[in-house]
Amino acid sequence: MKRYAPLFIFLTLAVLLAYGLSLTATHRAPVDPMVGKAFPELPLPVMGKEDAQFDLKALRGRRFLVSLFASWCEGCLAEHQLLLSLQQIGVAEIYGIAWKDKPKDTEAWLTKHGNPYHDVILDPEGQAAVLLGSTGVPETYLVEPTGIISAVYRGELTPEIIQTKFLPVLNGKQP
Amino acid sequence: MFYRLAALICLCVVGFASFPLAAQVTSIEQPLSDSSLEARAQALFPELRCEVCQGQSLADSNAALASDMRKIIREKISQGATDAEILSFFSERYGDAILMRPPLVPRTMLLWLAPFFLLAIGGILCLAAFTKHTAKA
Repeated sequence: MKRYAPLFIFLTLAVLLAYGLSLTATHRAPVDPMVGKAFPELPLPVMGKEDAQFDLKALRGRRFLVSLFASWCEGCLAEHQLLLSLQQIGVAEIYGIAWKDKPKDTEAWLTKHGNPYHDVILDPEGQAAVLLGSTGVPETYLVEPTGIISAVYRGELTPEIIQTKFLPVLNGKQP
Repeated sequence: MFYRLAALICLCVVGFASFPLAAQVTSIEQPLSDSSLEARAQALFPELRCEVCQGQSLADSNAALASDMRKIIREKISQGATDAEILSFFSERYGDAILMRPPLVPRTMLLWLAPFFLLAIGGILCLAAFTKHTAKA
């Protein structure tokens, strides 16, 4: 019995490790807590219409993407081209939240690099993050016509992420 | 040997005693004027994890996001929210992982029970080793 102990330990480990290797990145990542929750009301102004607040209810019935970004964020610049091409394809309207960013800087940055956003919500104090369960920028949310969040990606977007996480939902399939 | 042990114990005591001091740093942010409400806020900070730090709670962290979260906690307390409501406000958005004491649910069984399980294995191994030893002697 005792002489088989090393073999037994080896086999147990081998099975566990093989199982771990077989998991893909999407399996490993737990479902984001914000998926299935309502996109929060943000009591914040919109760029160019500073006297009015962002009106979430006006977006009912439409599917839209939200990008949490900032002009000082390098990852945001890295994914910016992708957002611009998404906007050109016209899969869904994209709304930006300029997090902890001076409105002046946001505007200059968008003028310089192009503006993929239908509207930009200004959040210089950074109030949106905790409401969205966010830890920083960039982050991307897909919101259903019902106002429910159906996909979240926290980090810099890549073509693969868009393909695996957002396009299936946008095309009506489950993620 | 005795002196080393004594020094180690002293270090530990000093280390633990300085913890409340670290928590006090948060009072640089605008504390609530009602001291009993502020005490509730201070009691909640160690219950929530700083999401952008390693192993720190909101009470220990100087991160901007932790400061934002402390601000929200004070705001919610002054609006009359209960402690449970505040904790669930955060766990709904960030998941149970934000709670420094995650709840005992099927998903966290391994987390909570593994130490006892490992202790039991160690105990059995010790017992086996000791009885063998005594049997020989």
